[in-house]
Amino acid sequence: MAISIKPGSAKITLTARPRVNRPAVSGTSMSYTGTPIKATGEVTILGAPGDSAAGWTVGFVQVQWIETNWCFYRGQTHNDGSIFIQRARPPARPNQACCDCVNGSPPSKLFYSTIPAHGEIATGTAAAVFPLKLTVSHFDQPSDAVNLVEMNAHPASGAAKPNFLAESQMEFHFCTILSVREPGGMFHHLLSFYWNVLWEATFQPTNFTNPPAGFRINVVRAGSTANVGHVIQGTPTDRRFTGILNTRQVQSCNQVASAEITGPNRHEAATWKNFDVRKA
Amino acid sequence: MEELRRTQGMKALAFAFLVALVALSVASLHPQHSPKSLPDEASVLVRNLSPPGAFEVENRGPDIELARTVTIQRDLKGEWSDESTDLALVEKCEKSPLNGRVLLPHGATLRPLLWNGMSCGSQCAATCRANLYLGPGRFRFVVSSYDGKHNFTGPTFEMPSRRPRGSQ
Repeated sequence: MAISIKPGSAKITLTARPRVNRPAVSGTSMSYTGTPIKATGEVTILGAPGDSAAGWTVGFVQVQWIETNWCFYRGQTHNDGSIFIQRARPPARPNQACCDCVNGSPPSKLFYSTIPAHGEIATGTAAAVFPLKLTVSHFDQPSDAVNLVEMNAHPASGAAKPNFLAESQMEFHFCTILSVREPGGMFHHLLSFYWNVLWEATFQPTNFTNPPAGFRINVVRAGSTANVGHVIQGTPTDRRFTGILNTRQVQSCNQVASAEITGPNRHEAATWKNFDVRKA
Repeated sequence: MEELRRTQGMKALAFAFLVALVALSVASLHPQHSPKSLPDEASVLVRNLSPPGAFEVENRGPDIELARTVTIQRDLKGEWSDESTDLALVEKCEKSPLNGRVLLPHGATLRPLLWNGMSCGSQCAATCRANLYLGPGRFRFVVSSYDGKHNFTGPTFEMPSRRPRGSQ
């Protein structure tokens, strides 16, 4: 009898739902944090006595398929200018979807973490007794940070002037998948769920020193939340990210995000300007 | 005449010995303050503090440039395995290059922000999409000289199953 996945044995249990915190000043940055999402997963592998389960791996895969990430800065007065920083559009971020895996775990392996001590994967052994139930856990706690102050060096402004964080919006949308990888490398994506974390706020410095003594932070309620969808059976078919599951990735979402903050799309204006946040 | 030669010879020998002694004394007095002297593995002490994840680095040797990044190792049944984090020798949250260096003068103690147990944003809020809490488990900190030639390993500590209170 060949080794197989027991039909209907895959199960995901959400053990902690994420929440988003209010943006907060952290050093010279505004930080966007939240509480973790946690889940467990299990799959049963079937085989005959003497079969080897070596190389059969159950684990979580996670893709990020939407990123919204922009912030708007304004000088003290109209003629101190404004800056729009767009991180989530090309060329800062060439593609929306990416393979989300922890630092130190190669995205080419697809799993969220291939490091056994992290508990995100479980692998069978040659001496396994069937049916073999493999259990795994999942944890994520996305966050971000932006500068409190950006210097506006627009040629029409004369000298560089400090512009202060005035508004920002961040949205990270994920799909987390419970998968089995055969020893030969073939993946079976069994169950999945969507979830996201969103922060939107406006900001006013309490004074105009650099950095300011503090900020009044006005959270936009409709844009500040965390959501988790229900568990979906079968291989994901969402074309917005299935390419990530079917092709070998070279960059993780952490690497993509690091690149977009290092080289964001930056627009400076000599006056307070209403930028179109939908554009790059 | 022979007696005189012997006396002069002994005087010269005694003088050479004295010079060597002075040179040795000077060398043994000053290396701790000279950045050019080589540190030994015990010259930089990594000490765990409370709560778990807090630590300090004391330099008992010569001035030294340390790598900004700190390695965290996990005890896997007696084998030490490196974890990937962004832990650094920073005392406050600020944007600074991870590949930088930190000068720790002789006698100075650095108390970095504590490790909150996370793989990303290990001390301060950071750009993280995948982010894992690495506890519970047994860990240790490894601080390195900037030139990579010396590692200073701290004692083992136990990270709890939840993030320590007071961490960012």
